[in-house]
Amino acid sequence: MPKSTIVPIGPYHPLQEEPEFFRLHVEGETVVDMDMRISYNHRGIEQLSTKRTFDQVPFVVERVCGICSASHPLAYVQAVEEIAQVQVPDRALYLRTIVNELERLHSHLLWVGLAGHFLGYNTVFMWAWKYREPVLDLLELVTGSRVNYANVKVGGVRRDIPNEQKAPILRTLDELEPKVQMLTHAVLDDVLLHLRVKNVGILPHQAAVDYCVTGPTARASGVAIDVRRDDPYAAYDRVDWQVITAEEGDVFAKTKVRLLECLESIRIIRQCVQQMPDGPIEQEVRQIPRGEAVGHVEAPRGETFHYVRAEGGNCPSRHKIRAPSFVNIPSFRVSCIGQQLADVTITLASVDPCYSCTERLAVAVDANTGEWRYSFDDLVRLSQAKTERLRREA
Amino acid sequence: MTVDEMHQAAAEQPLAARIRAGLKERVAAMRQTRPNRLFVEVGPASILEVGALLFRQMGARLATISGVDLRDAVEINYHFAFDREACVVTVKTRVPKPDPHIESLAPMIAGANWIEREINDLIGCRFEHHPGLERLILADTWPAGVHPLSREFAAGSSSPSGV
Repeated sequence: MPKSTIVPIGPYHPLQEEPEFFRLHVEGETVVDMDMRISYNHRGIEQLSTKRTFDQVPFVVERVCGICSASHPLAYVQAVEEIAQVQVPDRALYLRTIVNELERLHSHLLWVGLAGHFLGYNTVFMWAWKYREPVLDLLELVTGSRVNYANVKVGGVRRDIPNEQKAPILRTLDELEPKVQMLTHAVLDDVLLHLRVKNVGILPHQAAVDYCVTGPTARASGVAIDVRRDDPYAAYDRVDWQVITAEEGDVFAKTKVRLLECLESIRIIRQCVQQMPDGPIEQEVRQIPRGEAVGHVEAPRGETFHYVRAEGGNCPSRHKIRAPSFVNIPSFRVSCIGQQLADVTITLASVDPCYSCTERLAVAVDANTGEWRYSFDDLVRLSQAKTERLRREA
Repeated sequence: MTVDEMHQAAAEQPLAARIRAGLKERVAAMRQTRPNRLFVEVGPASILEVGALLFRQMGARLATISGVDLRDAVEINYHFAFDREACVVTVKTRVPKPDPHIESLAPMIAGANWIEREINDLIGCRFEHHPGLERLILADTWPAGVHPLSREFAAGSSSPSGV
């Protein structure tokens, strides 16, 4: 019987913001099984939310995740607005769209940079994060903050975009677009990257359906779902844009989907800024009646899903939050098993797992002795070394 | 087709009719709160038929499941997203306390595995024939039978000592 080794990744690691624990069972260099533990840092936000008034909850749930801090509150307020049957003014719908697409843009660029680093492409890391800066500047201009925007509220948004801000926003987009195009081509046309991440970490179409994955993880496996199109909210049904999909399901396909989505986001923001109608930015909401509703939003990592129940009081009586990584991470069992250890880092990174939403980590362990063999640092080094080897051979 | 036309087409709700035709007398109640939101109430014994119809036959995606502690029962809401039909169908069922339990959807839908474990941890509903109903959210040192999102827990106690 072949000797199997367990490689533990996590639960705490300096490269990861938060804890999560993967145990990879390996034979030689091949992953033969894996299991995961999460919730080392559970913050009890669902319970906390039931102790806050309906208009305080957006500030709580935007802290579910620093990166999805526009998506979570929007999913929540959409559920509450449905319970209270609020008609949100048109201008607010456009303003919500702008902030949510800026969020996607900065999140995807952040991911591209990190993925570059994991593969030993530190130039990609530097470029992507440099281009992300003006996006964060725009978020600061529009909402007053680079993270935790505190912008959306039940009935509308808290802050308007004055007309004199439109020109600087459009100028920044015009400067950013060619750079993102250049980055997209540089990454997608790189022969070495094709060797490195094509056919790596494949999530087949049927597995994507069975695991109910969402977002770029689903779209890169040919599951053409996107809440923005399938159940339109905000102003997504009033602007022209495309759902990006790929069929292969590998790491390259996920990279392609995210990079092309960056360009779609720029298109969406530009149209919203140009077409935004004048008018009020909020509808006053006096009371939330008894009722229940679901709200879902296409966050950068996929659908974030909120269920809100009201009993007629000031606070939700139940608030269920399902972040996209909660459904995407279990699919690692399909995409990692059978992989070489050097490919696991990028495969795990390819769903852009968000630990604060779901919680996370990884280590490799000897299946016979239970001994820890690799830290996450070691895995990143292993991943970078493989790229280097392919580069020399190419 | 414009979005308004899409909403109108959905309002004629072929989806609701198809679900009623598939589940027949198992449907205890059905309400369409707006064209793209449908709530269906069923008894807990029908949940495998619901999964087979909505997920297997009709191609819905299980977005998530939410558990609500209602003191004398636990309400389990299965949120199925029909992405092509632009509708979220919430299938509601109630399992009585004490000892709330229901058949697991995880053997049929891999995506139900984690959320059922989460509900088992936090609210204390057992999912029968789950492939591995181990702890997901609660720490290994957390005392057995204490469920932090249940009414009994929320009613008073702070977290058990030593955790």
